[in-house]
Amino acid sequence: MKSDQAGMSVQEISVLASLVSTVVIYAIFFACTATGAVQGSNQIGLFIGLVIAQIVALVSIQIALAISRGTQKADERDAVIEIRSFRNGYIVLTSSVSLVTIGYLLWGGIAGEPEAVAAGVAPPSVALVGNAILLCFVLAEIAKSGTQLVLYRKGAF
Amino acid sequence: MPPAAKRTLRVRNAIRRLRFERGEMTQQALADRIGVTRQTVNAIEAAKYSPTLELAFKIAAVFEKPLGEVFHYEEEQLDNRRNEPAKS
Repeated sequence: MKSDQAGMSVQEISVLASLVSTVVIYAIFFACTATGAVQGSNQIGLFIGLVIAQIVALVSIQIALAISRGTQKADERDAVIEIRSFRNGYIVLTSSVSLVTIGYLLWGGIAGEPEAVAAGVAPPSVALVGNAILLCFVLAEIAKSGTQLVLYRKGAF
Repeated sequence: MPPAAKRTLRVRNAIRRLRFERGEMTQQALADRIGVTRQTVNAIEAAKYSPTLELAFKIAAVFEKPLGEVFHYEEEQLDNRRNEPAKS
């Protein structure tokens, strides 16, 4: 008997779309902010614009899926995979936020030393810390979606 | 001395054979009857996903077979070096 190729379920396609859009959107955002192309309050405008673009893209994909594949309710396997992926996302989030916090404290401590002040070392800016925290959430989301895709393909044992 | 083979326990099933014995029931037809997606049925058949007890009973009820005839728990010896089934 030939083995059946199941293809991707609607949930798997949704996760893939979410992962790709997250990587693209935030790659654009961090590239613009890191290179200084967008500065100050314009970063907030860029962020809001990109998030809206992502929402529009994902909703469009969901509508296209509903038209082409019909509605497909999530089943127990989808729930198991989601729970396991949330665990990995949580681990990435807590680890990265901890690293950012420790880095901020160390940097701030070093910047307060007289030698550092004399050398012109400035403490981390609010924008830098804010972007670092945002990156933590983005990495956690990528870890969660990536875990879901691996479990869909490899198996959810 | 070669390293000891690693043993794992896996849940195997006879769903694909039972589907074909029931007039070549498709995965989609079985999925519709037990309330899951076709991809989940495929994953169960390929032993990539272990269903809950409730779902296992539903599957057995579709085929009108006892649970033990549909699912079985077997020990699989893996070659410790390459994580593949050990060659006898």
